[in-house]
Amino acid sequence: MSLWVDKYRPRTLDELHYHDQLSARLRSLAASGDFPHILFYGPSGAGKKTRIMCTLRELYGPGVEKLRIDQRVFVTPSNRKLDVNVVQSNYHIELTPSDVGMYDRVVIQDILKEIAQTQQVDLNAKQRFKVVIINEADALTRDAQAALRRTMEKYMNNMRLILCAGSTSKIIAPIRSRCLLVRVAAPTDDEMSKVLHHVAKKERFHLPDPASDAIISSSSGNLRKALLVFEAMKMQRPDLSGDLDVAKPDWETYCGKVADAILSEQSAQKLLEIRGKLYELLSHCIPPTVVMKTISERLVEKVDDEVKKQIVHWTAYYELRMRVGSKKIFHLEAFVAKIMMVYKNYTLMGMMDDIDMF
Amino acid sequence: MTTFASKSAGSGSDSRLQPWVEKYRPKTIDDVSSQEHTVAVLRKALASTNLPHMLFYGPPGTGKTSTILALSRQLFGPDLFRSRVLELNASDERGISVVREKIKTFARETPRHVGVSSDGKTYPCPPYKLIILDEADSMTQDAQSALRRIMETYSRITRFCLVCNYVTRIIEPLASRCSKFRFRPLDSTSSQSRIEMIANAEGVNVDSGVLELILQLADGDLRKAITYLQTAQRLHSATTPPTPVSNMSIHEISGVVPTDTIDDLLRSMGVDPESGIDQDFLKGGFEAVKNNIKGISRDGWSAGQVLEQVHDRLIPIATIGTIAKAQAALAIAECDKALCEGGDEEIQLFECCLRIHAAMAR
Amino acid sequence: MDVDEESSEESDDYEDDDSKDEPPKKSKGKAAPKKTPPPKKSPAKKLATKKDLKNEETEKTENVKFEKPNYHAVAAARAAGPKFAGSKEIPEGEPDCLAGLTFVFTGELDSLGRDEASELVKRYGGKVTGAPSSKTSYVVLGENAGPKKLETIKKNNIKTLNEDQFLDLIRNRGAGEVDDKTLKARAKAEQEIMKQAAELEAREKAEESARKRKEKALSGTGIASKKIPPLSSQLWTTKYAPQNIKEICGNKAPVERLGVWLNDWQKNYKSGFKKPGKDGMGIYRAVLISGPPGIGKTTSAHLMAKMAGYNPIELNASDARSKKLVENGTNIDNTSLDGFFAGKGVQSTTAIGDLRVDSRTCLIMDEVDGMSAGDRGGVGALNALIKKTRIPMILICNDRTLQKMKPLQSTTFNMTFKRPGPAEIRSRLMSIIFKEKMKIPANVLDELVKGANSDIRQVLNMLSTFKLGKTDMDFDEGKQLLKMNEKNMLLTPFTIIERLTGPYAFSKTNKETLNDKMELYFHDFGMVPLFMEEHYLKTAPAGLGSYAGQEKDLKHLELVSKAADSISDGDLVDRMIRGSEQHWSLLPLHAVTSTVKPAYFTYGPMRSQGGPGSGFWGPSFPQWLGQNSKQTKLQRLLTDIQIRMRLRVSGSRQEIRETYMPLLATKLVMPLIDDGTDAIEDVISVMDEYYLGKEDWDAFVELGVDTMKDDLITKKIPSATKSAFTKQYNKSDHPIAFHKGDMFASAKKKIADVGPAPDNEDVFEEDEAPPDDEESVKGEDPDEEVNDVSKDKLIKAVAAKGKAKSKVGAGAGKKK
Repeated sequence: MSLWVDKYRPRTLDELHYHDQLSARLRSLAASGDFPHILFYGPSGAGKKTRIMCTLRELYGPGVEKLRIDQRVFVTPSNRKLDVNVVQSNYHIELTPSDVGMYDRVVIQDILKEIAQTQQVDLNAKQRFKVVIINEADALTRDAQAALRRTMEKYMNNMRLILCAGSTSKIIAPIRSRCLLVRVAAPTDDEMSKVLHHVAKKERFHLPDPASDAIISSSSGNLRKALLVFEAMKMQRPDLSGDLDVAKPDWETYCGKVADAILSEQSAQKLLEIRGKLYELLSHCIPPTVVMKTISERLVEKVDDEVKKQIVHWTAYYELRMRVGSKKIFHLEAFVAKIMMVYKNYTLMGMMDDIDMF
Repeated sequence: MTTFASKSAGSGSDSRLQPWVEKYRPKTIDDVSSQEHTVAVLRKALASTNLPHMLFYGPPGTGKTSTILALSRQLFGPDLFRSRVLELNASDERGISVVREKIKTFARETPRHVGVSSDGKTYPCPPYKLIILDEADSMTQDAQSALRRIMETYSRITRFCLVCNYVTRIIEPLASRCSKFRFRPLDSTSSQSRIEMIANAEGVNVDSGVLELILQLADGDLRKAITYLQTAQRLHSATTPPTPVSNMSIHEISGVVPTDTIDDLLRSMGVDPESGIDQDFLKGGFEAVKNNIKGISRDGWSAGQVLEQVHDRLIPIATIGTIAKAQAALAIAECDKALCEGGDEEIQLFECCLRIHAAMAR
Repeated sequence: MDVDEESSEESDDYEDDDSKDEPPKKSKGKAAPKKTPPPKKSPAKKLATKKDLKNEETEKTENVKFEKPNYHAVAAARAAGPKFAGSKEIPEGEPDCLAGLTFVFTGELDSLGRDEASELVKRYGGKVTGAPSSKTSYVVLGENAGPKKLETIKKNNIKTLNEDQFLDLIRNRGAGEVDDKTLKARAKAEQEIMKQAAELEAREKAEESARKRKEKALSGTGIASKKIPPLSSQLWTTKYAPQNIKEICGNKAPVERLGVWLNDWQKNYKSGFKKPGKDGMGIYRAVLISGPPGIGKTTSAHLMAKMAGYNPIELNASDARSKKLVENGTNIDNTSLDGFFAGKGVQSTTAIGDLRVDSRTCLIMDEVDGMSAGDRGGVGALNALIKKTRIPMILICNDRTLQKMKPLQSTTFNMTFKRPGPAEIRSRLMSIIFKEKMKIPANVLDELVKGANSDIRQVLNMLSTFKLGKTDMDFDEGKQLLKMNEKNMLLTPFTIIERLTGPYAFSKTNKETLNDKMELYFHDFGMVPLFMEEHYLKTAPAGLGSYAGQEKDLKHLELVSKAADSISDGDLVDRMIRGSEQHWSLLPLHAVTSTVKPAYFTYGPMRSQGGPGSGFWGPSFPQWLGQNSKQTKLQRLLTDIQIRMRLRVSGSRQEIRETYMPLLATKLVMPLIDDGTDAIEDVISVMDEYYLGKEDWDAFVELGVDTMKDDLITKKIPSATKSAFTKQYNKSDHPIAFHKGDMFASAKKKIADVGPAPDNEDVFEEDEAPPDDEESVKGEDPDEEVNDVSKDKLIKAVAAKGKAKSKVGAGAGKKK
């Protein structure tokens, strides 16, 4: 009963559907015995983790897929307990240190030290080093990154790091220069349709082109999303024909409703109403940036060109504030207020003063 | 299959795995590339065996750390190096407590007697110790102020060398206690000779123009250049049969966005990379920019890198008016700040490009 | 001047007279007894010389029809403040020139703010009431006067003045135009005061001579003794502490009951506290007096105990009274009361040191609510003591509603002391003042008492300090003194927000400076910004006065957006303060950006929210707190889900929420809605596949928004299906992804003790912590074992599952 996205996830480098050159490179690196630290980066749903697991399999064989989860408890200097979940096999260990926020340095140092000081436990292991995968490496604090840098040199003998990040911008230069940078671009539309058809074939049904096009255009390069949408669509309409509307996730439609509300009426009263909706989105674990971006995208679709620029400008402006600040809702609300004002001003005056842009 | 149990893998690490940056670090200060002035001063100091407190600053990869390490080796020799030199960098704990304990303890020990070195050579071995604080600009203000007294109190037996990128981040009282040495970005000839030397020593097989490309991308940062070379070499020797290092893979390794992508982006903003502002391109407007940005973020390029390259490409175009350029530069600068503070890459870059577009359209 | 019984009616808040629903007091047709001299007509003062530029803007509001006042316009106009603020000269009148007169203000005056006007009246000895009645001497009419008031005015034939006439009245009315009755009352009061003062004087003399006598006697015996300080050098609060029941200000009834209870105590004791007596107090061994500070609780208790013939022993916060001490020190099990305290070192704070506890002792426990700061058992022990006590106990506290005071509720008689009204205090104070040869007019004294919240002690302290410099006080000095001694009461955020965003908060007549506003923020700088954020959208900003229609909406949005921006700035500052940088010196900046600036943009009366039925008018509690904790909770649940799914899914938390959950919902939740119980089997198998438990299923539902909102969903699932689902889930075993780990350190230890070979069968349950130092020291043998075991299991798991997948352990649950 696995979802397709998990069921048909490639397990070896050979099974990967796209970026063949990259696969070949990874294969030769794994075979060379001179495996470097690697930093995988690329957008969400492009296949970074899949490639990492394939590479590990190439390194160690199928044993690496025997995963287990350990929950470790750390005690911070301020006596707070931290639960850290660690996924590991006999050959590798995987951490998401950003889960613990500002204490990530302690967690990284402890776990890495422990791993690095241990010899490979498996006599039959193909490599004498263990691999440590660090997820969301771009969310690591600077302290933690600095700590990593030292460790990378010190424990090169029996440990390799694989970092996984959305972008390299937030990774400090010393780490970047110590890693092999591997960019995993999102698949092109053709590549995606190849994957979709592959899945359809395995599931033994025919995927009509309009359906695959609809899926691909809605998922903008996120293969995970595409496959999930695909399966949802198949469930709703088994023959995949006729007028297909791609099911949007609950939060996305809700963000759309907020955008519509903004355009329908601009007043403090409406803003008050919208505040409730924003709170609901945030409290249900939708990241504030995603909320803002989704609303902004929806707005941009529906307004005149003049206003579009303003909307993007203010989105960027408040998005940054939201990152820096701590109470996200304040900035979201200020964003909505500003957009309302801009839009109302535009509809009333019919023109736009460009002053605020520069 | 090697047996993992062999404990040998400790110190005598595989030279194959050793980063070339370490392997080819200058052994003496005379090996240091292209910092003639500094080297000349230091050579004199070495001859007199009297070092002042020093502050090395300059962009990354210009040889600051290499210089001080080479200098201290020449001063103390391999045996005493361990006991006389304390090197702390950003990845070590350097909070105020460390300054108070570790550094202070080390600083106040009187150096032991001078023996004859094991390699038979004689070293000056001056009667003081050296504390190297690498990346001192990342030390907290508190920790820096705590250093002030230590530097003065133990100056008879301990010298400090602070190494940093930004001298402005060193508090004034500390900076005034040191003689400052500025390290310039390496000029292309000296770095080229260095990189060629390494390529030859390691037997790297390169396509033509690759070394030039590496130097161009490294932009005066020798460490970056060497790292690129090593990574590329690793990648290409791993294939069977080993292939020569190509321009393509250097691009990929350095994370540099292909020029075509940047040019497309520029066109969507109304700029022809060859001829300047182009009215036809300007008409693409909002949608054109949007599609380009989407494409870039889908390909996973780092926004900071894109921004930098847009800047490098856009600013030299002679036909664009100064005001438009200034506005574009402003937009880029603000976007860079936003990215540094952790803003969302896509939206920040998008906003910046729209602003540039607006600036071009005026 | 007669007793100010109407003072409570004074409206000194922002409450709009116009919106008051209660009908004004009906006059009984009795002609106003007071002599009301006709207002001297003087040539109407020329209107405002300095015309404000605002003039033109405000003209629109003037057009509002008088008969049908538009509430919003009125509110807005009022919020805008006086039109020509400060444009008229405020006259200097004779002192007390308004004495005996009662004023009502309605509508908006031209130059005076409401507060200023009423202060003016009080300064000259007049009274201000909220609604006109037959007793009202004058109604000062401003623009947009409330229609109800106008009606009453007509009905009662009350004289009306406009602002200029009002000012002229002050200017021209001579002093002393006080009617006979007032004069008589005043004379009587004065006599009374003199009498009391004489009494005080006499008592003081007597005590002084007694003291001297004693001193003499002691010095004669040659015993070195403490000098009893002469009375004149004592604090006023001690000096003028009430000596008899008559002198206690206010709370007459409870004090008397206390006396009765004390008198009957022995009788009740003998009867075993069975007879309630006529007021029901007979069954209590102890009394709990509660009330605000400084109204004479302790004094009354002492006094009544003495009068009933007891020796009061007082224990207060300065004595340690934790559970242990109460138990040991008071030795409740001791059958004999002798030596109750003796030898235990509990000091009685009464001056009589050699007091023996006997049946005539009365124990006064002061400040009970301050008890047990270090020991929660304190009150419990005290309660035990109360149940057995053989002497009357009087407990005193400020707030008996506290949680820790609960045990005392059933064992003690609750007696509440209220603040005495100014009238009750006044005569007592007047006599003291007279005795101290000070001259303070009654209206000034009233202000003082009111300003100090009827805290007698505070007023006495203020006066005694003031006397050091001066003996007579006028109105302004009184105000000043009050301001200096202003009680630094912590305001609640609700009040603060009302003050910050009230209709007049930033109007021109408001005299508060930026600093004053920031002061409000510092009352509770954690909460006030949150309240501000909650509130700023709910006002009808005063700045909108002159706009209308679309333009008004736009202007409103502009103000709101500015306020929101400022709040956003405030959050950035807040981050610098509370973040890693800890720039606490930025707090004032935070005060301005987070609180004062948004208030400036949006101050004004509250809009009624939404449709009918909402009708809520105060600032509401910030949602942020609740929403934030909800977010934290859901985040935790999501983390749990993610880590469980981790064995199957590579996505991060956010990816799970954003892309997986919508689809999983169609597999986990929708089938239950659509197919009911038939779908349970499938749902559970999907859950098992992803290692999700029933709690995770609940969390899953809770995380939905919009059409997937949890209450919508749970409503749609028939309860039969729900219970069947739960039942069926609990019936079978399920794979578990992992068990909660122990402490990191202890996990290590465990490995060392037990050895690393995990002999439990479930791969996912095993504590096979990553090998650490000890292990590598031990050598290879444990390693081998680990390997073998896991290998075995791999085979087993694969076999059990019958699937070709090499992932391990999925079948963990099924093997049982």
